[in-house]
Amino acid sequence: MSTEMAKPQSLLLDAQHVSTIFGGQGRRTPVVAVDDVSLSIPAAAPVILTIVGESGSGKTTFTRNLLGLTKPSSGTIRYGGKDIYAMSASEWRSYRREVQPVFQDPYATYNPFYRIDRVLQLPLRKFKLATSAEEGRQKMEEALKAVDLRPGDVLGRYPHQLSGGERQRIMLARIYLIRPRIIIADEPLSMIDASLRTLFLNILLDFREKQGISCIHITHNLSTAYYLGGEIMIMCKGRVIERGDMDTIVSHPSHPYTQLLIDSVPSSDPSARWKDRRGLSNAVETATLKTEGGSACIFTSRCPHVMDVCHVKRPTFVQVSPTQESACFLYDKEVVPQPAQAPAKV
Amino acid sequence: MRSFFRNRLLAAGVILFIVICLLSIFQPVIVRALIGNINPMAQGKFPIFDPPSSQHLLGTDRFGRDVVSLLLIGLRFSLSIGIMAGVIGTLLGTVVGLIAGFYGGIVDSILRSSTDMILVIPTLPLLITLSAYIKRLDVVTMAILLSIFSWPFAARTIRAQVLSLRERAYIDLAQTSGLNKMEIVFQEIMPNLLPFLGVGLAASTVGAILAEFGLEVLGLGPGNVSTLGLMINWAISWGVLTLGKGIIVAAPAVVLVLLFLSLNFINIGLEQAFNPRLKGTTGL
Amino acid sequence: MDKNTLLDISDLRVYFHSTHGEYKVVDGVNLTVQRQEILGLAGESGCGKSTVVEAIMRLIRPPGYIQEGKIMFYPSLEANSSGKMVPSDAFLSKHFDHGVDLVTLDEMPLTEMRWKYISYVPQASMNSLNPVMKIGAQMTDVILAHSAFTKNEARQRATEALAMVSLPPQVLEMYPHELSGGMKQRTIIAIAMTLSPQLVICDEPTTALDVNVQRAVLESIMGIKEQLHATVVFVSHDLAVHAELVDRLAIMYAGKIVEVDTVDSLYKKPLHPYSQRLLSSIPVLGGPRVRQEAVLGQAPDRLHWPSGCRFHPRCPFAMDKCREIEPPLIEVEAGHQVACHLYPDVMAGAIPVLNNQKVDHVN
Repeated sequence: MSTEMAKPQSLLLDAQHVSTIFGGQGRRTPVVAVDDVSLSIPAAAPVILTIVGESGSGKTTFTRNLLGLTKPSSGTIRYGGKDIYAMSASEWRSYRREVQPVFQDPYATYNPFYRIDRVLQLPLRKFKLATSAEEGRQKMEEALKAVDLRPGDVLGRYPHQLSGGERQRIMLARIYLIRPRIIIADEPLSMIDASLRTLFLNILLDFREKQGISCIHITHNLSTAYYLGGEIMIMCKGRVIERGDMDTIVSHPSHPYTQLLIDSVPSSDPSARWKDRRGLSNAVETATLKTEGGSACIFTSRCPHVMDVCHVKRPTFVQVSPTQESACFLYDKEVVPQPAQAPAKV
Repeated sequence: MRSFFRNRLLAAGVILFIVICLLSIFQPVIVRALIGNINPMAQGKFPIFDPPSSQHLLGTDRFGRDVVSLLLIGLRFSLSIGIMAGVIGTLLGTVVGLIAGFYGGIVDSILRSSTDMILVIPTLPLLITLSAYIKRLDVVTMAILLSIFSWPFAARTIRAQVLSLRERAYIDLAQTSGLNKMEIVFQEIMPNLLPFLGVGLAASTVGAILAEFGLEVLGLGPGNVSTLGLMINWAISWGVLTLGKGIIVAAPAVVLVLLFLSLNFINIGLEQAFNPRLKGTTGL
Repeated sequence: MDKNTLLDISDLRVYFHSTHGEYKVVDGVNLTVQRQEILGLAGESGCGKSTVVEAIMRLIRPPGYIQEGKIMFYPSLEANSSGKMVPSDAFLSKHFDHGVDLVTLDEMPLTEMRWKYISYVPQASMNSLNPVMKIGAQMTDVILAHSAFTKNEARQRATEALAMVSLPPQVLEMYPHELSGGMKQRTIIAIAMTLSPQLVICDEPTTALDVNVQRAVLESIMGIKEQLHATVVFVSHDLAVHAELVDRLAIMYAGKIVEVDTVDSLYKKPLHPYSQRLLSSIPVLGGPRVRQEAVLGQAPDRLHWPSGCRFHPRCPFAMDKCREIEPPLIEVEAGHQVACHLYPDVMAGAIPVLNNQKVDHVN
């Protein structure tokens, strides 16, 4: 590891007020994909932070901002105190090594021209993880075994010769090999089977407990997020609307959007099915439905508790409980004379 | 690799092409075998307009030259020009397409405009004009001239392909594995362009040969060598069809058609081999 | 035959030719579907569940083929409320009393039966809407092609169908790109409902949808049963969704059915070791956070299924018998079938295996 990274910082990864806007050059109206999002990962102890959002919530764009693949329009992302988009070449290489992705599609992530060995060999070479070819080979095999794969079964093969589950596991073996400090996993489970999901999630937990690797997990599936525990951040149309401790928020969701999400999760217990039908009012979501943005709350068109103030001011974070904060005027003392203490009933 | 040659079209094209190449390479040997130590271009060595016989398989022409020998010389000439022009054009086009597609922005705009400008110019009239001014048109000069017109096609195809490949997830993964932009272009994108290069090369070669052939039929192009096009030009000026010596005009045409067939088979076969959707279903 | 049975699949085998060999994707499936129930078909990718429903719809194309089996369909004449009869109704009604075998049915009556008696919502079907036609036009096309309604009546039916999936009539005048993914999916379900079929088959309709949208789609499917009184076969790998929706559930593994039961009973007391592992791996939101065991090993090679019981390489309770003999699907309790050597006798009072305990026999 480069000595430049050895400086102790209280925050390992610190994203502040990141916004990413696409388009807006003349003809097309700009799309605000990420709207003032902040996030921090402490250096002291590994954490798991889940970002939950539907499609169109901006979570994928934000992930690319964090990974250094897409530059944000404003805001800063600092790693070890340094702005990642202003790093020197060697600092950038260290950042690359210490913050690694796991992608969603286990097929598109591999170059079909090369054998799968290259996926593991490239980081070995580029990040100088082994001093000899023999040591490199050993490390590769150790990494494969750690994710329940037999080296003889997968090495020497091409991506199309392996199953989706094997390919996704190789993603994890690569992580194991590189030993980053932060994993950023973008919907890693959506394309793999149920039985592999549990293994995958367990490996992520092991990475935190045994290797001290933090994980930023991006998903639209609340149930798998819950299994990992830790912190949660909920995004809607580019903005963060609630964040805090996972257990608190799942049992006491404060923001109406969070309540809507949790309400929609299938119960997985046949005796506790949905009693009512949502019906027409919440069901109409055209692609052209106007969502207000700018200086209004993002959720006004679908919120059952919408008030006048929601259309004119953008809500800021209010501490709803010691371990959760919500961007909603229902809990804002300055706006509502008697703010809700407990989560408002849907 | 084995599946490469399971494609019969590709196999046929490759075999035919290899035969043609061998004929061209061994042209001097074959010619010597056919007519002895005589210069095949020399006039008056053999009887004029001889019909096909065991000594002259396709007869002789107006100047008493063995047609088969002339054919072989012409074939070698066309092939070398075509391949040279094809290779230069494709190489140039690929580099332009790669840079334009990958870097985007203003670089892309400039390169694209240049490509389009050349595409707009009508090829044959310009070549005709050029060859009227250039006195000595030898193989290399001609190849370079022709490649000026073939590189835009390669550039367009490669650029389009690079634009799509650039968005693939494995490019993201390569970036996070520590590769820099140059390495990504050559190690990640280039290998996936090989099918297009193969197809482009074959197409460029065909285009170049056709352009060269067209020029020669019109009487332009090198005058000191017997080329296929030139043979047809002469044949027409001698009026061979009315003389009943149609074979003198048919033979070069047939040889050219065979050359094109081989290249096009390779072209189509490569496309099929690399694009599984064009093949029949082979199960799961 | 039980009067309540709508569909009876016996010994269905669907194989696929390939240069490497024969893929036995569906290899001996026996399943019945009762009238007015929602039957779920669950399993991981590669288990054959989508192929089973494609076989029901006779959509298997080469290199796939139905090697063997019967799919008996017993529609009821009274329930066919789609109005005016078309010529094939007369032909079909002759067969209704003893059912039709969908496997051997001729192409013509089969085509007539689609949409009218059996509807199909395939995977990723929201992409199958014609992007240059308005929704209303597409729906009325289907209705007019399969019935003798007039244009106005067809439009009326389309509006009713949209209402059944909670979509407003304005949707008829919209183009597909104006609708969100969830709305498109519900439109497809609405199209499937327009002619009041007796059986609606949905293949992974909620995959890749956000959880909000998923709920709306699931409610639409519930509407099929509640308002149309039709039967639904619902294919999905998501067991949480099955818990919310279906009445009975069949779990498939490696081309065969391993367990069938009512959903209440199955989720409480799964018998087959694969079902147990699968069901215990459903993450429950808000429940106690317990580290779960994954199903060990890899999915089997589809060209060469394991010998005997196909799950034996990954089964924690595998016995010698499991390697050699394939367990038949037997009924161990009323309505509960399982294919596992741990349950050899029908009513021997075997205690189901839960949480790694070994099986005991009670007296």
